[in-house]
Amino acid sequence: MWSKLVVNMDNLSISRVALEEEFQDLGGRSLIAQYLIKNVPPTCDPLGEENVLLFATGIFAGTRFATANRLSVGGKSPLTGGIKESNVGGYAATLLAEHGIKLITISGLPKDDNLRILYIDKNGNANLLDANEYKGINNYEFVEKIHERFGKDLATISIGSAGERLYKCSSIQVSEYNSGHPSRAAGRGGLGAVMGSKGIKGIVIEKPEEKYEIPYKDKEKFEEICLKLNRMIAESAKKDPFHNIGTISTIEVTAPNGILPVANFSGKLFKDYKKVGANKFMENLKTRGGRNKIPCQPGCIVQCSNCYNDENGNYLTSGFEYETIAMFGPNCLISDLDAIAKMDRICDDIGVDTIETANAIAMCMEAGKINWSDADAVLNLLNEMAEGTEFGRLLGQGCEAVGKSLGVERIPVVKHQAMAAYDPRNTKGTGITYATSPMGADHTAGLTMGRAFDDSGRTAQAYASNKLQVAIAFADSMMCIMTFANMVPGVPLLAEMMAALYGGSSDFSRVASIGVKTLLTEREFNRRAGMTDADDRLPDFFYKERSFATGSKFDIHDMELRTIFDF
Amino acid sequence: MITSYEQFVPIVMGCGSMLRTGLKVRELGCKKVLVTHGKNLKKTGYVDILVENLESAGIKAVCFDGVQPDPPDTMVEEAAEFARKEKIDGIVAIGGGSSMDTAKAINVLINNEPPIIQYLGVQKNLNPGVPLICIPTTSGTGSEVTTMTVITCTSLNKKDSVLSPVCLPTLAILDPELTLGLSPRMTAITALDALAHAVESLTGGQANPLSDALAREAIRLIAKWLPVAYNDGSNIKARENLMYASTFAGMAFTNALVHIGHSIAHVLGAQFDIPHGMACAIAMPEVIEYAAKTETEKVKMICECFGIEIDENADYEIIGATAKKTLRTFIKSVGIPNLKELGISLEDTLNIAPLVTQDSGFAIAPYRITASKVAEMLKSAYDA
Ligand code: SF4
Ligand SMILES: [Fe+2]
Repeated sequence: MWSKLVVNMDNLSISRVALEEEFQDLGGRSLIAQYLIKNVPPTCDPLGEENVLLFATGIFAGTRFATANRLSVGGKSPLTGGIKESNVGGYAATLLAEHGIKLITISGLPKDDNLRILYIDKNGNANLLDANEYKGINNYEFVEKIHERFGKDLATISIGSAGERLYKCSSIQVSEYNSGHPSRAAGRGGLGAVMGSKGIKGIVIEKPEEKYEIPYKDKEKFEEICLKLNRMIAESAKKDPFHNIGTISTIEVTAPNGILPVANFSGKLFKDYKKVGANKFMENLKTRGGRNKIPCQPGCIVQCSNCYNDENGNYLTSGFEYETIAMFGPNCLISDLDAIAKMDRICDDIGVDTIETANAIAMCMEAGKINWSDADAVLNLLNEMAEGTEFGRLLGQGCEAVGKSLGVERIPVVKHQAMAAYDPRNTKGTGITYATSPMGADHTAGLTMGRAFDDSGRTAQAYASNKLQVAIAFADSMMCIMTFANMVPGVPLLAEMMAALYGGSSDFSRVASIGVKTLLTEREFNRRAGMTDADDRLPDFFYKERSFATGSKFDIHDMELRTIFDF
Repeated sequence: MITSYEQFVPIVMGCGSMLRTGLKVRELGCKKVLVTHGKNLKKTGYVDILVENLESAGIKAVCFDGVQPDPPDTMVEEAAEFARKEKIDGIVAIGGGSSMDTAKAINVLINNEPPIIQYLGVQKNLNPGVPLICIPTTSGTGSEVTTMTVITCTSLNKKDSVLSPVCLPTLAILDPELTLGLSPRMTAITALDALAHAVESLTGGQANPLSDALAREAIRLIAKWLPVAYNDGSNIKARENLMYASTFAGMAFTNALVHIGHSIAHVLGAQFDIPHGMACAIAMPEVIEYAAKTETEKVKMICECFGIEIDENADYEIIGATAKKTLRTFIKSVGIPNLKELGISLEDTLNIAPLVTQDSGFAIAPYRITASKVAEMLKSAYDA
């Protein structure tokens, strides 16, 4: 039986109990949706005592299935005011699964101002340790100190100063496998602030002495299907640019087609994109001793992660991704890859979402507070966030708060969350996903690029968005979506694998209904939290302004948005 | 909204134009062509005339006479094997949709390895085939101007299409005289397929001004001339207009695509063995009523093409209801039975709704609907 670690900050108690029967064969995003709707009042204050912060491993956690050990973090989002599941790679979920823990719930608020660490030792004992000595330090230093104190055979989940300051754009950083760098972010939705509100600086998980034995229904069968899928993924990954280069390769597709956001979603093309493109990235890796093809979690064969060094060959950042590069780069008219890498490092370190933060910075440029293309000014603003100056704190509240405060009209958010690196006019299905995903404008919820007839046309966009949102909702419950993309023909086998692991039906409808049920539950949570139809729309300017690159507006009929989750 | 119109097939048209085939094929540089047709067409004598016409222009012709309705993948693979062995450098299809779709599938397989099912869906990178000339003998499918071929996958027991430039004919020859012998029933069924292409492409998400113009003209012509041809099959003027209407509708839908009406038709066809055009007509009024909610202006146009004046202030509900009534009256006037009259039970009818939502046409629907909404449409059409 999988267990649940129940942490109550009201009385600082911890107990380890069996996970409820109804949740046993769920995981990741699906588990979070079901847990939250049953246990958290949707109208609660996200930073108040009724909110619960959740850490869940996936449906196939602990098995040999590639990237089965992804970590989902959940709770009511301080940024969107709705439900939030943000998932992340790194080492933590592997170790949680080895401890037999599928879910950690952290509820209540501490009565004091003390910071604490949730420490799970190698025997599976969990304790809250005093962490006041780490107050105000950032993620890289925190991990270093933890390694000094407890050794390196562990994984960390932590917040930086941003989470402590309850910034709505704060992330939760997870240490990468092998390197231990806290460079994997559960970035979106400000869950770092929820962790901060509970006074938890970090979760430290030691590698257990004894591994939890997974009670397979039919282990032989499971291993057989799992091997088949892993082979399929390995074969497909060989040709995947995410493996051969990294997620930055996306820019080669988005930049020429007007999908890459430029100058706060102006809809223009960015001539200089090659300066922040795949070749430049690969060249810098090569000449400075950086690396790609790094697995962020054990057993990943897609290995989209990387390690990026500065001009002098010293470590600068890792997990340096397309979204970060696009949003701090072209969307701020910046074409200096090293400067962007420094921004990424600061964001990981203080613990903020790069997408939300970069969009907030673009608001400052749009308002004329700093100049377009001025990378130094951006670095200064990020330092203000780190120092917690008055403006730095405003930046920490995210794109919409900054835009409104500076009087900007073109604020690219949905459900108060900033858009990722795809212009919704030129990949309209992605625009539909931005509009309708219960998560807010999210790039991992159903990116339709290349899947409908014409990215900037209307036909089949809602269909593609619907299909993908369902697929991603179940994929987020069991694996990393970058790996999922490499096993599409094998998707029906996921149901057979579930049956071999948990028993029950091996029909694909079992898997599909996890996706559908998760989406509908998330929407219901949002509805009860007060969201309406109006929250499922893009900002006005995408309906009114043409993309200069294509002449396209976001001209999707409201009816298509309204009916997207009619199943 | 920015849209585009892309596919275009050169057309030779007019009574007697079949006799141009030899010259045109020679112009295309072909030396030896494969003629595809079904066994029944042979009886009309048209195939012999065509072969003679080709040979008199110095072109060798070999025939594949095994075309079956709803072309099965196994049949087209066998035909392609024959075509490759014969080393043909052109294909001439004569007949209805099945003959033309067979020819297209053969063309796909001329320079691409079988099996055909691996090419289902939109294919952008197939190796090109040989010149393909289509001569329709019915006024319905519009296949002579479209980029798609509909194939029955025998192993999966369902129909699906290959969409590729390789399927686009090099030339279409429209000879209305070839349709003179069609029975009233076949005349109605095929023309209603064309009508379905027109009304669905007008209301689909990919519609554009050019496809709209073609679709509207197709509707006008069918509204006017189908009743004439249905009552008097020898009326050559009616035959001409129906043939052009079906080609216009084909041009419209190869660009604008068809949606839920065809999804319903595909499932009705597969489950109850109802001919395609009839299956398209059965729930067409309901489908257009549903589309009126978002495509209000387009549905208004459909009414106007049938000569119905719509009040300027009419809302989508009134427009939808008017279109539904108009289409139903028209369909019944040319002897199309409803599902009840076809002897199908209501229960069996409603049970197909979930299958309909799995059809690929659903991707193109104006807006998403559930299986229960489809069931409501089927229920409304059942004994209407
Ligand atoms: S594909 Fe990338 S993000 Fe996913 S598990 Fe592997 S390295 Fe991590
Ligand atoms: Fe048709």
